[in-house]
Amino acid sequence: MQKTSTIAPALKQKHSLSRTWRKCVENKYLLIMTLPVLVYYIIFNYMPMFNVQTGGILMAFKQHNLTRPFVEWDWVGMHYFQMMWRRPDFWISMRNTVSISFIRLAFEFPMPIFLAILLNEVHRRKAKRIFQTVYTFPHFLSWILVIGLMKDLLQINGVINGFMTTVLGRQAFNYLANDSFFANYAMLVISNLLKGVGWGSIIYLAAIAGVDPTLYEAAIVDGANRWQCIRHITWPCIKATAVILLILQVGNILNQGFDQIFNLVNGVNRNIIETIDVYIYRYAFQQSMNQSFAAASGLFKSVINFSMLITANLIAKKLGENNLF
Amino acid sequence: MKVRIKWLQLVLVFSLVFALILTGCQTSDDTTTTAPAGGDNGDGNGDGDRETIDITVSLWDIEYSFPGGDPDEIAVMVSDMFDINLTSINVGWGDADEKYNTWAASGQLPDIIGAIAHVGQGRYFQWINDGVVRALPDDLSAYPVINQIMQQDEVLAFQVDGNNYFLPRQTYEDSSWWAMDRGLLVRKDWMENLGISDPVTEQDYIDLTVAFATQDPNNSGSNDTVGLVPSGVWILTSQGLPGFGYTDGRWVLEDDGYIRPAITSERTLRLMEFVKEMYQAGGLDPDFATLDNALEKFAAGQAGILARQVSSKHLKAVLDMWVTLQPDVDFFESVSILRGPSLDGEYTRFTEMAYWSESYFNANVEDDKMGRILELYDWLYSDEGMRTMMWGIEGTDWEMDDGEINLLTDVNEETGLHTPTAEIYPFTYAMSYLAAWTGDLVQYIDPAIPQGIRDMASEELDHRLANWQAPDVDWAVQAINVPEKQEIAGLTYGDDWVRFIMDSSGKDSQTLYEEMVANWNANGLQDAVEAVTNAAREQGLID
Amino acid sequence: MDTTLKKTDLTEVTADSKIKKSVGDRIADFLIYTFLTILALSVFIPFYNMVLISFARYQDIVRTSFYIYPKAFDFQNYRMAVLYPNFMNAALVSLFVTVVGTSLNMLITLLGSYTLSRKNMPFRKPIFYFIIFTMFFGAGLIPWYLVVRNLGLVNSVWAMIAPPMLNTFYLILMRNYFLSIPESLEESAKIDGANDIRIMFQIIVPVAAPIIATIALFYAVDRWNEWWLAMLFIQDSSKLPLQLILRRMVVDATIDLGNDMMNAMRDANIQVHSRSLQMATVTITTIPIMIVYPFLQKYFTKGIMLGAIKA
Repeated sequence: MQKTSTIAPALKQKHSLSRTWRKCVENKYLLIMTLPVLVYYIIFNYMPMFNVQTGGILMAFKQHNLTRPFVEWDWVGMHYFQMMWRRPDFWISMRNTVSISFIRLAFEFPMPIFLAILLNEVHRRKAKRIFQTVYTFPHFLSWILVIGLMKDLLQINGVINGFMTTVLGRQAFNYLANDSFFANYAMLVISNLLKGVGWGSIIYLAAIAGVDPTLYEAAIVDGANRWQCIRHITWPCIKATAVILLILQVGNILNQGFDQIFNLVNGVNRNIIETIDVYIYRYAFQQSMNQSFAAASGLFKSVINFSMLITANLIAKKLGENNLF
Repeated sequence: MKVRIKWLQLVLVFSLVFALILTGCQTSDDTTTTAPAGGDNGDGNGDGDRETIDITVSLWDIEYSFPGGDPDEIAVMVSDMFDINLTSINVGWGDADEKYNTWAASGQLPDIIGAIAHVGQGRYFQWINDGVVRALPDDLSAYPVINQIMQQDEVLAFQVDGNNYFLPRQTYEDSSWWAMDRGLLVRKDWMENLGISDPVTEQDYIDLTVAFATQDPNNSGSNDTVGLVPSGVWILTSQGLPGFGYTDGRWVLEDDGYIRPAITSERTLRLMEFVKEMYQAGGLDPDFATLDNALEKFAAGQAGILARQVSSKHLKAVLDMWVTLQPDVDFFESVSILRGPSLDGEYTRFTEMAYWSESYFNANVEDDKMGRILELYDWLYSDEGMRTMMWGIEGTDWEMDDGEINLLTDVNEETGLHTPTAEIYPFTYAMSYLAAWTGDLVQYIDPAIPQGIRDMASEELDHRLANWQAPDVDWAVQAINVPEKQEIAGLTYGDDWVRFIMDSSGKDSQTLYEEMVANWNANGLQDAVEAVTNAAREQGLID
Repeated sequence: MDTTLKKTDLTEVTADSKIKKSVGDRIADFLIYTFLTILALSVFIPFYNMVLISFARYQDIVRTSFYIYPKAFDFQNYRMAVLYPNFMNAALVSLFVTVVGTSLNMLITLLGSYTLSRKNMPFRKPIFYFIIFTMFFGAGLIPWYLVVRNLGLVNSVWAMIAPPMLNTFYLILMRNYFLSIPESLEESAKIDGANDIRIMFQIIVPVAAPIIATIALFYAVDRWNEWWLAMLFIQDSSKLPLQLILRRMVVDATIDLGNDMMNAMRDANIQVHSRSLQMATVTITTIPIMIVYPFLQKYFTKGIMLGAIKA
């Protein structure tokens, strides 16, 4: 590229066109191999977006009509966005979503990495496999079941309060219905961790498995201790994956586990843990399903999530870390 | 060697995949040939010249009515009677809404859209305005029972431009029967153990529940009981405690001239102050806000008072559970219905529309087909239709004996119960609730429910109908369709009252109430109240 | 305490390396094992409790606040699930969707992530943007539903396979792994004139075994747990997957209305606790995964691949 910059623009363009062509011919296998992937995305993602009958994304700005084609729908502009924005409940749910997101980034995100490193330090294969299998169990339980179990444990008449009051002589505490920030967020984080940390660590274990074992042997021969091995061999291997997952997680800032929160929310903790998804469900889906409102709220979330992803990626790039694009 | 094994593995995996693809294709071929049930040679009837019409019908779990194979006797009878060939399109209890939404948007709705309860909500009006569903014919005189049902206030109120768009799925003969869908069951044997007589005042009730929770009413020697358990927080405001006036969610005219949801009124505040006092004294189950097993708790002998439905059918549910959990305690000796405290000696009944959920009809159903559907519904609504759906064929499965139904079906020796009708005639399984909730309608005469239960419920129902006030709920007001009202559908009044009860800030209840009202108004309640009141005035519903 | 520690040490030394462990190492080991054991218990006890509940009698669960030791074994819930209409058929449908679906998933994902990780791929960046964009912006349910319907997938088992053929998140993870493989590995093959298809299958795939096993596991679990697509697109009850019919069974048992199954059960005087029924269904669907899982595990617990290739 640098060489061509000295040549006249017209020539350069011609040159680069033919160069692209040559590149395509040279790598025709790569292009052929990508074809099925592109076809998939065109059919299942782009065709719905540019559907004439329903208008795709533009549905958010028009009044959805079930029988007539998109062009005949009434234009409503930002009506559905305002319908979402103008309630104080919306801003409360936004605040909750963002704070839950950050708390999850701080406390939940590092845990699978930590667990993967610890598991990697277990050298007995059998123990390692047993641990790993046990940790993945709860991933397969639905939130309804997990929360049913949490109720058994955490109710006033439950096991933990029973222990607290009879053995420790403490006051019973209503873990499931209280308005304490700390108690609620701790419950969200801990339950989510116990359910998902094992599953989340699998991807990091795969990354660690890519490490050449001779590296460890060489390091030990050089007299490196355990901590040094982790820092200089294991961690660099995980880091690339961790950064990518971190960027994607930041790009997911407005999606915070609907099932978990929807099943835990009640009158007492609503103002603390109700997220934007639960809010949208409450106003749009519970009583009167409205496709345009759903499209508007989806678009709103997408725009924020996408800009967060771009920002996170930019920061990663600036820091010289691995990044998405 | 190693390479060869790998190849072997690969070949194995691929042949497995290939075999599975083949079987997959095969199953898809097989199933398309499964013909829908229903007799199509129904020429033996009087009006045999009629052409048989295919009708697709969707309803919760309707596939159980069409299990495949030879149709049962009642299925054949029905398709011969009306010259129709029914095909089921199943929807589940958890997914009906989602399915209907996608089908409506893609023009795939079946002829009969049965699993829906959205009358008066946003989607109801959208479906009508967008032309998704068709109107019923103006003249229904050919269908006497339907004609009568369509004259109910709660049906007329939802007409759009003078047209009816649905057939209501009747729950009760009229809305007063709902009185029994809220109530309190009490352990009278525990009251005797504690030496407490019938409570009257609010304080009596608080003392009673606290005694249940703390004074070992079951003589177990340990602290294993609670006072009052509500089967959901909603029941507390929804006339579960009926002595505080109308405090439920329907919109009523208040003294200040505005129409608003009664649950936001000062009456509800008064009621909730009582509940809060009970909660703070320890009489209300401390886990009431997150509880989902109130019925089990009561039936297992862990709670003194249960707030739940007390109609015949629901009492039977309590009894059945009771028999399993406390087989050695006699239900009828131990349980009675309590009425709750009252401010002025008056009680207000719970009310709802006489129907729950509706049937709609696809806009492309022609008049001919509509006629057959109406015939079918008219029969299902009739006494004859209901009895057939409920108990089977007269003479074979049951007979009328001095005004009472007498079942002739086999009795299970172990349980002493008659064979369920749906076991003999699968067709009746879901078809019995296509036009009406037949099981609810007949629950006070159904021989499948023990006589003792029916007597207990009937007696209480008679008392309530004679002595309790009907709330002033105008269905035409509930039907008012203004956007402001649709937009506040997500307000959670009941949840907010729970916060009121469990409040730990120590603010006085008037302040808390004002904060709640301010919050509702900020989220759109006041706008909706004004819009509804104005609309009601314009329609001449209020002065 | 001391002796057990020593024993642990001995086996470890023989199993792992010949280098003697320091005191600090032993303390670290002790701490690691303690932490992992506590975590395992706090995850396992609830799970154990839930499996127990699935075998419990109705009256025992209601009377016990936390059911920790079995009072009786009752197979009622399992009998009910297995006797549910179409149970066996649904298991076959699920197996079909999982095996065929995962195979196709892996094929397409491999193709996409490999090509997008090649430096000489033409239009690499635009294609990647094209893909990332779909992670955030979609048209919503209805337009997507119409496309799937127009493909003729309504009431076909392929409705559970084609629409989720590719998961962008997994594609990114796999591509990321491919990017970390040193280019030197494939240079010799390139000089020999091997084309990209051969390079991918003969060089990259064996080296990437850990990530391939991982992503295959993710896809397989997703396909096995599929119910939503079936709910939307499948009408014939003979084509429903296991998860959907079990789900429906649980919903039916939870809803308390006039003529539902729950009441039919009550008529027969059998009490079904909906949570224990739910637990039985979870156990039924989780067992196959738990049987397959350890076999996959060996691919991502030991980093032997890279070394093996080099040697």
